[in-house]
Amino acid sequence: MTKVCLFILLLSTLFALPAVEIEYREDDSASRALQIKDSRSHIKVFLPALPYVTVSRMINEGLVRLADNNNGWEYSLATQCTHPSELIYECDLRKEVRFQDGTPFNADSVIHNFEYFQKQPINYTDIKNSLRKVEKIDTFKIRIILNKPYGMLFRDLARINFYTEKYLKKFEWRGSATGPNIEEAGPYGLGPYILVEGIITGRKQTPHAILKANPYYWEKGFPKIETITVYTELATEEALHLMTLKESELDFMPIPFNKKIETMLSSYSKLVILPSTNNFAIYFNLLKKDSPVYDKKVRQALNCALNQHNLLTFTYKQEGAVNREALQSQECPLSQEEIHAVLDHKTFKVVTQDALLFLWKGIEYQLSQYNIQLHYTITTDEKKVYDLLLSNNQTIQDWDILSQNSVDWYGRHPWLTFFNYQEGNPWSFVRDDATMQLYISQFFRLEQGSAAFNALCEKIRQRAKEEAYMLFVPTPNNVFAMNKELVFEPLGIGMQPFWKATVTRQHWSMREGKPYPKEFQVPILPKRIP
Amino acid sequence: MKKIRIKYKLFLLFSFSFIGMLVLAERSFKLSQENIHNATTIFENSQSTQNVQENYIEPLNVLREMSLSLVMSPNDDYRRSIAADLEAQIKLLQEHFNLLDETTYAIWLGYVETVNKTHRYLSNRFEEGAYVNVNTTEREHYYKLLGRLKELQHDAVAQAETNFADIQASAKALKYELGVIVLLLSTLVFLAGYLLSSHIVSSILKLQEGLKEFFSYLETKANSPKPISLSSKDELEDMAILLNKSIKKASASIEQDTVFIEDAINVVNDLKSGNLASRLHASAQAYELQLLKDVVNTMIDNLELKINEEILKRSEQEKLLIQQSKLASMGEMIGNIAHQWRQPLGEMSALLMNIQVKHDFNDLDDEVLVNNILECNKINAYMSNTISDFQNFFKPSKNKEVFEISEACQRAIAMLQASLKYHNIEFYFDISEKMEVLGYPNEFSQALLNILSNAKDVLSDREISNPYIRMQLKKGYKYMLIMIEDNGGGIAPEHMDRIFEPYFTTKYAKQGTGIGLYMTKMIIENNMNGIMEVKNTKTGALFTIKLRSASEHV
Repeated sequence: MTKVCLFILLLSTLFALPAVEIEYREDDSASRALQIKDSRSHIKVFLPALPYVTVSRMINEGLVRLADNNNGWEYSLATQCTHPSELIYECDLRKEVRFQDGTPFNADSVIHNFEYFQKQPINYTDIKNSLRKVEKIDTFKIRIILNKPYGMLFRDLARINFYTEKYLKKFEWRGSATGPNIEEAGPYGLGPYILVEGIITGRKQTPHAILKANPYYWEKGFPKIETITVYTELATEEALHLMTLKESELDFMPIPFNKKIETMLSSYSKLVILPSTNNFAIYFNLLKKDSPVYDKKVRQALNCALNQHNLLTFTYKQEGAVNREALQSQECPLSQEEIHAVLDHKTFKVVTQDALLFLWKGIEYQLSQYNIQLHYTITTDEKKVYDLLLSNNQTIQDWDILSQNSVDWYGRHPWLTFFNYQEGNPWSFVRDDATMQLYISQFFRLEQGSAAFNALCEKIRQRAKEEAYMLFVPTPNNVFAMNKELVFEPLGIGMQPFWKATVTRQHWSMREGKPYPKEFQVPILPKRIP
Repeated sequence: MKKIRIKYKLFLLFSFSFIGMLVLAERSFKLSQENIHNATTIFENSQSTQNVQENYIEPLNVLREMSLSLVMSPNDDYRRSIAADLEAQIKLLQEHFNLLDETTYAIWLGYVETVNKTHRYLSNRFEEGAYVNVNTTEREHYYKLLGRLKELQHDAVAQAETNFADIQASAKALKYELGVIVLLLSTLVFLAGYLLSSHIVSSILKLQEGLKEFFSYLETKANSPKPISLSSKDELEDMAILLNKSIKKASASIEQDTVFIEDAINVVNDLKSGNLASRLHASAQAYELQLLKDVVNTMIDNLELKINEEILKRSEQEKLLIQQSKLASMGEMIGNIAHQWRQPLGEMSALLMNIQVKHDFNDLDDEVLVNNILECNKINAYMSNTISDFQNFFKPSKNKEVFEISEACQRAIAMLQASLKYHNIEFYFDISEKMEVLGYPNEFSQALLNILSNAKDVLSDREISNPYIRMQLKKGYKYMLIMIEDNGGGIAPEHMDRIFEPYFTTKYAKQGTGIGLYMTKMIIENNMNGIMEVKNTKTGALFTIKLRSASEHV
């Protein structure tokens, strides 16, 4: 039935296209962008995957912040850090910075927050083991002392945000697996936006959240939009409808690859495409002993069975790249006959978000030659996926395979994948793999980009491939639909810097009810970044 | 019309038909010519349609398919290959569309531009634009161009339809035209044919009637046929005149032949009545009858001659027969006389011996002598009477007379009495009452004697023990029966049918003549109108003679 609906939708889309010759225009919104924040400015964004990563980044800040660069981070409240010894880092703090409630930010704020942090550190990296303490050098300088070298320090620092005393007293620092410390709306952070309505933690979030510009934000000229409404749980089709056929309902959303045309031809939206380091994380339930995937051969066979190139071509519509974590065709340890024998007539229980159904249809098509049956549990609610995923370590769940519409929350770093192999990590179901654990313990100590780091990464990848801990699929491009009058350059990682976004005077929030001029409704040539 | 001869009438009729056929052929030829012309035009239209289909629509569809494939192509290698094919296809179509009208060519250029635009979009990695373009503008131009080509096809098809309609209309008109011509010609030919045929048929019917009458006359010879009356001035009238002449001539011949046949019948009747001098004198018209007349007359001449010869011959034979019969009868008579005389001769001899003895012993006296002489004279007289009896017996009766059968029987028996006795044949004669018949008594007695004599011979020859002959006379209402039966073993079956034939005898050894029973049957059946039959009994033969009583004759 779903296939039929999709087919009808595609047909209706094609034949609904206007018969007149379509002309495109260049996107000139940047030239018309408001340079000063207007209090009327308002955008609505839909973030179906890990919305807390972006929201957290917009309402909070730490010493460094997640960035779409080779390091994966940039200085934020620290203006610079030195590395006087292997286990010591000293950072200068930005001055004249105030929390959203107006209270000043200084070294004490940092020390105070780290004290809370170290009581309940994040549990998906090794910071809890690596960080010894943070010391105040002066009012605007701190020292970070490690127990052992920790190459992921600055990436972890990008997730250690600072909160007002009021917040810390109320909620403390909770090192949860997702969305740390957005437990309540209020002026609790240092980010460009204040969460004024809703909460977003991943495990617990409201359907939408409202962010208002932080009047105390330290970076001059930002943010440029007064209000941002973040939707978290819209159904994909509904969101597309709001995005492409309505104005003022939605200004930004990632779209499925097969919805580019509608987006591009919409009177109100434009299409922006860029490579990403996001991934679709597909977990095997390694803890469920009666699951077919408990058998390593089955997991290997599933990885061998997927033709990455065809997935990329036909399922991703070329919007993606080969995942270096995935098995290359020559790496398959099984013969074709073995794959058939292992997979023949197997049945798997699959949990997925509806946004990933397109991917599963592609996978299902490829696996159909092995007579595999997939029984889906489909949800539009990301929280459910997290619940089923993260609770598996406590109570073994019934699913065999679970797919998560993940984004690069860690900034172009292999840990985005490797943390799934770390025993004890809430996101990992790997057990009793001493080799892998050895590799990962070594991994923490190496600086990203070093030769040793790269070699170890390769070992981990090989080990993961051998054990087939996950089902790997190509890395998707980020394909976004944006309001034509939204001036914004999205990133290829899991965080979108909306505080840098602005709108034009023709944006719906600025027109005060006036109709959108026809000349602006002409389709805009898609923008591919780079 | 009556004045025209049949051959001219038929010539006229055939001329009408011929002209009609010529007209029809001319019209059909014209239709065929028009049809060929129109079919050629339709064929050209069809070729034009096919040309549009093969050289424009189908390659255009290929181009469209290539453009779509180009957009859907999953990788650059495929895309480059398709793009090369697409350019070649455009070049090919460009050559073809150059040959078409300006309007179509302009639409073609518009479509090519959209295809190129799709291609450009793809070259610029604007996949979405290419996808949209190929499904909107390019598609629209494609349909426009396709529509234009279909219009061209439609024009050709419409022209073909028009031509086809022309053919149909022309065929329809010609159909009516042919119909009218056929109707007119048919009517004309029909009328001419009807008039002609009615005249001819009328004349033929008259001829038929005349001929019927003539043939009826031929059958019945009753009424002479009337002459056939025709005034058609044509061949049939000529035929009627000829027929009338023939009928008249035939009637005369028939009448003459009828006279001839009547004459012939009279001659035949004459011949039947024994008048062999009668001859055919009438002349027949028919040669065959005339020939028959000559043959018949010659035949009668020959017959007369033959009969005369046969009569003479039979007469001689009968004479001989009679002579033989007489000799036989004489022999018989002598034998019978001998038997009759045997005793008196002995008595006479004894008397003479007695006289001799008496004389020798001188005992002869006159008295004895006279007595003996008297006795001898008596004996002599008896013997003389015997001879007279025999003479009378064989003396033919001159006229028919009524006589007593028993007496005639007694006379025959008397003739044979001594012989029967001599052969120890028992003879029974049973007579109940007197019966008279009209006939020849001597011949009748002679006939009985023949039967009895034959019976005696058989009994004697076959040495039958206890032989007998039984003769019975019975009187009926109209007839009298005389049955003579013996126990001599009967007549051999193979001889049964022939015993009454003349000269048939089984007594060759005894000089049998074969005349006796023939004569007997002749006497009984021819002279006395009686019936004679024979059959075998268990012991012998039984002859039955049936005679009409004298009272019946009266």
